[in-house]
Amino acid sequence: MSDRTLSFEILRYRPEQEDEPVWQSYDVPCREDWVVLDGLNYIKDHLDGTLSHRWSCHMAVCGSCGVMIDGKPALACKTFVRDFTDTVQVAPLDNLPVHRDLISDMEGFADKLGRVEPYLITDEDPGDNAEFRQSPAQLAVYRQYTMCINCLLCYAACPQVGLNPGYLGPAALALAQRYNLDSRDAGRSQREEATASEDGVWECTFVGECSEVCPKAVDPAGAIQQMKLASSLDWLGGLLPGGRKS
Amino acid sequence: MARSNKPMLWLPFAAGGTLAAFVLPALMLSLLLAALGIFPTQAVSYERLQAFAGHPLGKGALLVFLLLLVWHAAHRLRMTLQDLGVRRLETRLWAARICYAAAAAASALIVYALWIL
Amino acid sequence: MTEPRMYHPRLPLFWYLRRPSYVRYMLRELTCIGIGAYAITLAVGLLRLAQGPAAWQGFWQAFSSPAGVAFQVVALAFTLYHTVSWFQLAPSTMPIWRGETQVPPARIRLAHYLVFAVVSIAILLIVGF
Repeated sequence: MSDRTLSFEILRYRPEQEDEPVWQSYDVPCREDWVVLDGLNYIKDHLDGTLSHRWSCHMAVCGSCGVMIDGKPALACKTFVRDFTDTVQVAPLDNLPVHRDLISDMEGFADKLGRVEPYLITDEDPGDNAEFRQSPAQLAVYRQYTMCINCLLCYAACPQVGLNPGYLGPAALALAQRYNLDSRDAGRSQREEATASEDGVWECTFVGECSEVCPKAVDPAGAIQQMKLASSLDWLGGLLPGGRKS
Repeated sequence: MARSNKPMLWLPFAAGGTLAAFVLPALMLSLLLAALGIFPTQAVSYERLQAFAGHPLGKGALLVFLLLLVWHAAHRLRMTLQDLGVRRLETRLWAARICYAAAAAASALIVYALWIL
Repeated sequence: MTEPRMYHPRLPLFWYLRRPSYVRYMLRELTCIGIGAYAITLAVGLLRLAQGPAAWQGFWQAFSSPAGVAFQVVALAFTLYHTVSWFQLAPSTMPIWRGETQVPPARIRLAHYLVFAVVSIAILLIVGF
C-alpha cells in the first residue's frame, strides 16, 4: 500500500515537558498522492497520538493547517510529499506564539482583525428595504482580498511581524483595504484610526513575501502600499483648513 | 490608537525614491562620463554650473531634488537599521534621531549652499 | 489552574539570510546608503561651487580622482538596483483598472522604463552637449 517512506522531522513543543521546542523524527510510509497533512494525520493515528496539529477541510479552504514546511510557510494540505526526497521538516508558523507542537496562537490575530473593523460602515442608516447595488467593475477592484482564509502564512513570512508584535500585519490590513475599496463602504477614515496608527501600515517595509506565500493569491503587500498612499493623502488633507483633525 | 504622523516621513521617502529611480542613474552617468573625460570638460565648467545653479529655476530644482534624495535615504536607513538588529525601543528611537538629524544637517548644508550661490 | 506557557519565538538576528527573496530585499534597502552618500557628495559639490571657481576646481579634482570615480561607479550600481526594484514594485502600489480588468503589471513596468529611457537620454544630451 505504501509507495515509499518519508522521514517527517517535526518541531515539537510540550509546555509541561520542555522550555524550548525540540525536533522529533518519524518514519512515515507515504502514498505517492499524499500531502504533508496526510503524513501528519498518519503520525497522529498510528505512531504518536500526542502530536498536536490543526486541520479541517483538507482542501485549502479552511486555513487551519498552515505550518512551516522546510522553512517556508505553507498549507500542509496543499504541499505534496512527492516533492521531497528523504525528509520533510514541519514546524509551527514563524513569528507567532506556540501553544503546543504545531498549534500557533490565533488570539493575537483575532484581536488585530477586530481592530481594523472589517465590515461595511455607512454614514447613515439606509433603512430596511435599501438595496446596495454594485457593478461588476466595482466588485473587481476588491474581489481578490475577499479570498483570504486567515491561514496566517503571511504573518509567518513577514519579518516585521516578528520584529513588532503589535503590528496589525498583512491579512488584517488587506481585509481593511477590501472594505476601503468597496463602493458601498464609507468607513476608510474610521478604519485609519487603526490602519494608519503606529501599529498599522507604517510598520510595513514592503518585503513583499506575504504576497508570495499566500495560497489564495491575495496581494496584501500591494494593499498595504496603496493604504500608505491613501493614508498619506488623507493626512495631507487633514492639514488643510477645514480638513478633519486626527 | 491614534493616527500617526508618519506621512511626514513617508511622503518624502516615496517622492524621493521615485525621483531617484527616474533621474539619478542618468545624472550619475553624466557626471561619471565627465569625470572620466569622455564628456567635454566644459560640460562641468564652473561658469556653466554656476549659471544653472544660480538661476532661480535651477535653484528650485536642486533644492527639491537634493532634499528629497536625502530624506528618502535617511528614512530607508532608519527602517533598515531595525531590520539589521536595532530592536529595543530606546535604541530604535536613537537610530531614528541619528538618521533624521543627519538628514536635517545635510538639508541645512543644501539650503546654505543655494543661499550663498 | 495556571495558564499553560506559550513559546514565543524570536526572529533570528540574521533572518534576512534565510531566503533569497529576503537577501534581495535587504540589498534593495541598502541602496539608500549609495543614494544618501551620493546626495551628500552633490550637496558638498554645490557648496564648493557657491564658494567660487577655485573651490569648485578642488572639488572636481577629488571627484574625478580614481577614488572619486570608484565611489561614483559603486553609487551608480546601487542606484540602478534601486531603479529596477522600484519599478518592479510600482504596479502593486498603483494598480490601474480598466472596467473589470486590471492593466497587467508588466505593462505598467514597461511604461516606467520608457519614461526612464526618455528622461535618461534627455539628461545625457543636456549635460554632454
